[in-house]
Amino acid sequence: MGRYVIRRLLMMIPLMIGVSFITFAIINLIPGSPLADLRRNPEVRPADVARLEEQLGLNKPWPERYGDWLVALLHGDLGNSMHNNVSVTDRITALLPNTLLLTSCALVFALVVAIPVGVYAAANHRSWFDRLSNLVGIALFAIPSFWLGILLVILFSFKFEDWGLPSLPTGGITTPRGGGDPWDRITHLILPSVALGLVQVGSWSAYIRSSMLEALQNEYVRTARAKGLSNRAVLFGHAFRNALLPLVTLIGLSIPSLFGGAVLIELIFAWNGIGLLTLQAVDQRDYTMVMGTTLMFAFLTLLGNLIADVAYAALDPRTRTE
Amino acid sequence: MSAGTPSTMAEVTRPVGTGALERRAGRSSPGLYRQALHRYRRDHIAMASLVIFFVILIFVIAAPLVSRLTGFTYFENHLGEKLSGPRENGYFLGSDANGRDILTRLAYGGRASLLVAFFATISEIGFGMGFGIVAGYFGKWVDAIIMRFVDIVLSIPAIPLLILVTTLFSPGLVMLSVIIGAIFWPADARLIRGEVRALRGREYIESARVVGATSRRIILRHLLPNVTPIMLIQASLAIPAAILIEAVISFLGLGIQVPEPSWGNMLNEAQRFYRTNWTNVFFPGFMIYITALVLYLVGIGLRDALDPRLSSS
Repeated sequence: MGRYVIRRLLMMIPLMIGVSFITFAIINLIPGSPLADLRRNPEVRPADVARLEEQLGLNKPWPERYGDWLVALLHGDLGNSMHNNVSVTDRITALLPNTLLLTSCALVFALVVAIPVGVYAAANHRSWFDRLSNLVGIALFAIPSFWLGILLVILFSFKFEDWGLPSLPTGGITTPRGGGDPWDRITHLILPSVALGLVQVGSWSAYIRSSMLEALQNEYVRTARAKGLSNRAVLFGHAFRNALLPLVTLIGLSIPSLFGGAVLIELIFAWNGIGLLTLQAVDQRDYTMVMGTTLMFAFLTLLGNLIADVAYAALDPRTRTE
Repeated sequence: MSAGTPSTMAEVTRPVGTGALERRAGRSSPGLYRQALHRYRRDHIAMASLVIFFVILIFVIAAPLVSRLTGFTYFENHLGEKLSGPRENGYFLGSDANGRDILTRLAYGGRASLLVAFFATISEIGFGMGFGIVAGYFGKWVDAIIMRFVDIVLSIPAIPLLILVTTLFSPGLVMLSVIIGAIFWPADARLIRGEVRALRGREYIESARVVGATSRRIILRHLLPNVTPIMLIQASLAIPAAILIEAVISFLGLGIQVPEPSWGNMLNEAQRFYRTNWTNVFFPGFMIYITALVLYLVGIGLRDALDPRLSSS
């Protein structure tokens, strides 16, 4: 098991180098230097632009810059922001917990809803609940999460406030002044997590339902029922444990879309994470920062896949063979 | 499932059929598509979705007619009547921050959204099919290079990558479609490659090679028709995904630029006034949602019709 994890971790290295190379190439093969605005500005002397260009290393050919960047990366240094010269590594490590908090809350929310719904629908196959949850699941499947986020704010922040009901905050991680206690944090987390997680609920519950249905047809389920186990014990103790396996893979596969969706949700809810940081950096043509966040997203995706695979191996000993 | 149906699942290794039957499958195999059509017609949800999609399509194509009926063009500003509510000042669905008619803009905006989705899907499937077949058929180092590239692109979440590329390019409608296709093809390529690798070892491909068929002929005449059904399924599921992607990019102000409307950029403009004019946020988002939803359902119906083994229920 340990060797498997180490081997998988080592396999991530060439992939990460590939990701960094592609990102670097995209940024540098396209016209439009981060200093273009300064060059156009008659107030700025060309000599100053040239000095800045040298300071940022932009006067070197890009393969050389890539080499320098890669060497620095091996020392854990992602360079400094081209916009305000702060360390990219520091900025990302400062904001990463916010993004992870949001995505993991969304993930937990989606699972907490999807698992009982899927299991209950499978246990009551072809019942009205089964049909209803199927319909709702399909309806959730194609919902644009950013639109859903705005609608949630309109309903639970604005309309609830207008109606005199307790309303939820429209955005941010804490209330600007005097906030920050656990309750304040939780209320700020609810809407963005729901907006981000709800999209997954439909497909996950459908998946759990179908793998439960499959598991329930097995002989061991009949045996378990025959020896008089309660319905709950059969469902969760026998069938669900086996239906869990494909779910682990499914979660691993939805990690990229979870982080992608987080970018938009962070924008809508002014959630200060690396998604919002990416949007700002792209807007400011802050290439070193964009490189850093893209690499971080790729790293998180690969790590998520790795965790899913390891969890799969832990749950199913058959896949553990070298 | 008759013997004339091409295999469309990589992981299922079915007994190899006789040469004659397989050759018939390699052709246009009318049986498969006619059967699929028959199955599709019996699928109520898929049929209803198709009808709704046609209604949306007619609304979008008839945008000039909508414009005549509302009495507004999609670009004319009426600053005195900005942010009217629905049915106010003669605006059926209200007006935006520049006093432009929402209903008319929805009709024209749908054109951009649907066109981008259509072209993006074509380019995505084109790239995916091309690279997938080449990698799967030629194998060895060609396969290794293409598949490593696929692995790399798949490990970057698509949205941040898309934001980066669209910011750098400031694309128009066609360019935006190509960019979306260029970012989303790797998953299709992986699928097709697996499929082609499974087919490559089959007897009828071997026989074709024995009688001296060129690689080109084997690919075009024998492999392509066999991966077409699975590509149709992928394409039909890629269209709604592209609708959502276009909406995201235009929502971020990076895709279709105002005053040209698209559902995404209408949402972007309306978002600033969501406190006072929530319907302006609701309508464009609802169009994105309902269009993507019915297209997904059409896609799922098509998948179940073309390959009942993949059916979920």
